[in-house]
Amino acid sequence: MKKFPFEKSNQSQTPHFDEVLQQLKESKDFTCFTVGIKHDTLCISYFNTLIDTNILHRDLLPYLNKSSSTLYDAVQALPIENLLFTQKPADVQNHLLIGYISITVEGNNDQAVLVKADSQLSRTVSLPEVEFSVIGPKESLVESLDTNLHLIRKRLPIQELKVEVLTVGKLSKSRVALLHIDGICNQKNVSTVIQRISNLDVKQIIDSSYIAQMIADKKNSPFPQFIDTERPDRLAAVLGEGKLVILVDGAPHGLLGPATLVEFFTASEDYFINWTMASFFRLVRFFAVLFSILITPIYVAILTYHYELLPKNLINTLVISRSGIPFPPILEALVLELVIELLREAGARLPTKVGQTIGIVGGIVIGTASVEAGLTSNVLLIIVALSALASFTTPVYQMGNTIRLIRFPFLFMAYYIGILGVAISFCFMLIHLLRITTLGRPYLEPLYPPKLESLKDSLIRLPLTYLSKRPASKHEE
Amino acid sequence: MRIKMILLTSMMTLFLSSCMNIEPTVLNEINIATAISYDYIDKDHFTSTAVTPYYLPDKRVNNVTFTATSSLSKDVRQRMNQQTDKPIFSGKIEVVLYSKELAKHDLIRMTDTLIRDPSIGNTVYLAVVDGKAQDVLIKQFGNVDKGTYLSNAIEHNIQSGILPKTNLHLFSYAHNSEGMDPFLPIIKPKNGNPIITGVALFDQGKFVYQTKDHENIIFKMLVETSSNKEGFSAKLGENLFASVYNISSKVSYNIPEPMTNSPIMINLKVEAVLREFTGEQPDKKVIRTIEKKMEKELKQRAEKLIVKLQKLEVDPLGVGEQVRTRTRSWNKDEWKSLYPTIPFQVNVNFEILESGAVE
Repeated sequence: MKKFPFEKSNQSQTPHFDEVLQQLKESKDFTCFTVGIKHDTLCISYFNTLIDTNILHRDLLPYLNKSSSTLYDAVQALPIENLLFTQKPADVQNHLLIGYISITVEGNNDQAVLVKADSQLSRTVSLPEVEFSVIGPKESLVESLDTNLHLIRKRLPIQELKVEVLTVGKLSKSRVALLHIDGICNQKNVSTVIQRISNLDVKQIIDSSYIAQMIADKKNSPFPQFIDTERPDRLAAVLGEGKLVILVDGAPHGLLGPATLVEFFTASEDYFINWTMASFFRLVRFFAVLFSILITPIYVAILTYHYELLPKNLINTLVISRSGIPFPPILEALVLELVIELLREAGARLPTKVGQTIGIVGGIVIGTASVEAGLTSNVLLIIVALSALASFTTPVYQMGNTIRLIRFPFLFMAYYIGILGVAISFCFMLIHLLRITTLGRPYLEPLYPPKLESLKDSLIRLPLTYLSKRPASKHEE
Repeated sequence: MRIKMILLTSMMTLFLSSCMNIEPTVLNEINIATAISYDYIDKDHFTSTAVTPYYLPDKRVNNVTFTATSSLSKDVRQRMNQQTDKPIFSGKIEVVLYSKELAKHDLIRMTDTLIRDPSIGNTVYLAVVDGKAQDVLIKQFGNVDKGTYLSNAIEHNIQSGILPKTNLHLFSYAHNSEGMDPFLPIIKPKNGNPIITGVALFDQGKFVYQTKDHENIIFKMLVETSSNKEGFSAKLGENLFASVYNISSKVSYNIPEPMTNSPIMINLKVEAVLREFTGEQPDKKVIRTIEKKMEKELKQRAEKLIVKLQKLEVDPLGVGEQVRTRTRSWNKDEWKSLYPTIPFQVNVNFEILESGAVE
């Protein structure tokens, strides 16, 4: 990890404890008071906004041995397991900043005792909102890393579950935890991820998505390469498949990787229901995605170039719906697609209650009014609305965004050279997908390269008894 | 390097696709012709009428026709375009009609333009009109587009009526085959309403014969393995009639000595449901008699028809093709002289599957 300028200067000058405390006192929420013992004066200092004052008043002050002569004796009787003895002033500073109480002897710069007393202010574990499922566990991750680790560890009470914690961010000093199960997870992946995370040179890590974006193999690809989930049960399940899980303190979402394309269409509910239904729902999702990407471009292509392709009974409907519309199909489609994006964006930015109103205004009023005004054809309105709806069927939110975005190049190509353009765009997309790797593994696995063993849990899900083997792609190499 | 590749690819798609010369044909900015008819004027000229549907906002359909006279049918389109606000496109043509007069000359010359145009499908229905072909298209009737109406009419008659499978592809296939002659459905306009009356038989490209009512069903049975919702009836005796429906038939050829004068056996296996019987409740024995009578009836009709075809020297059944597939040294001219002299023997195997839901 890189050193920060102020840290460097601290170390080069090796300031005394007093100087460190003096610097910290410039903050108004820093408290420092003294307690007398036999010969010396103990200086107790902490950030009152970071610590749990209960610990100070209940567990620390009453047990301080005021009759002892040394610092060591004074803290002997403290009912706290987490006592740190340090001689480095920098250590004191760093720990004070994450909620420790330091006890030093005034005028003596040899040693300091650090007492962990950080207040655990955190949301309680609540229902998953993004990945809600009717059946199955209803816990979701919260912003506290320790709580999250607890949620996962209690599902995997084995010693092979290893947790690696790294600190990232010059300013945020975020704790990033890397979880894997020894012996199942590919060790190469673990070291790759550790390498990439520790190489990060950033100021702040606000959320786990920062990590996902920065350690991805193909950073410019619109396709997400780590699955982002708020369900601890899903994380625990994939750990057992030999994947890595990355948790970031302060982020209520965990990352899991290496992820393949088909896994983005996997909901954890798929495993809670009978395999026949789960397979059907998965196929529906894949169909929905293809539909969502292709249907508007195909509409534009056919209406602009290939009227021959229309069944004779459909021409009537389409011609009537298009009659009197002053725009070419591409403009019509683009405007409607943008309107849907506007609605989604507005709905996402507004509070829930207002968001609903926007949905009604957008969906019903704008939709019907624009058809009645003769600005758009009602057939296209149905198509665009359906394709937007279909894009929301993906269980992973980011994938839905990707699908809505890659529709636009398809649209332009469809307008430009018709169905051929759609085919060319599809080829480009396929080539891109084939080129993506996540942590060095092909993104399209197990579709390409084909892995029969992993196909059992890809486009369809076979009964759980068939899935006892780990997917072939995650075997240790 | 990568940037260069991306640039190159996008340039290629941009510029090369411009060479493809595709013009937008936005659906509501074109006139989609759904049916075209050709009428004979003189040896080199014909009148062509195209019908295009105008879809009105209240879901009604107005059929608009354009008529032009010319000697080449693409030239006709130019003349038609001069009459209209939107260009006429032929990609959705469902039916092409030729007047009998024109069919008596050469239809091959006329179908050439259809085959050459890539936007016209091979499954377009061709038909011969007994009378003026224009008449079928000009009269407005019903609330449907004319081309769709006609193609639906032909289609359902192929699926369950008297017509054997026919379309542009089969027509030109039969024409180009050495041992086969084409046929087309024949339509008769009655007060503008098209009525499918039978099949027009061609000698190469020239119309020669129109099948009569009683020949239609047996013709279809002989041409192809078919199923037929229509029925036919036979007189079994004094005041005793039986009629059957839901006929499914299968035809197979038995040619022991191809390319000789020896007889050709045509085996016809027919299954049907008894629909009407004027006698008492039929038992097994009666049904067997009915079957026998039907077999005799069908055999008679089939042999009569084949003799007629031999006399006309046309071969819409494709017997020549059957012979050709069984002959190593096929000779077209030899077959042509042989065909009228071959004795045909039709063996009918008639089976009544059920005799209806009578107590």
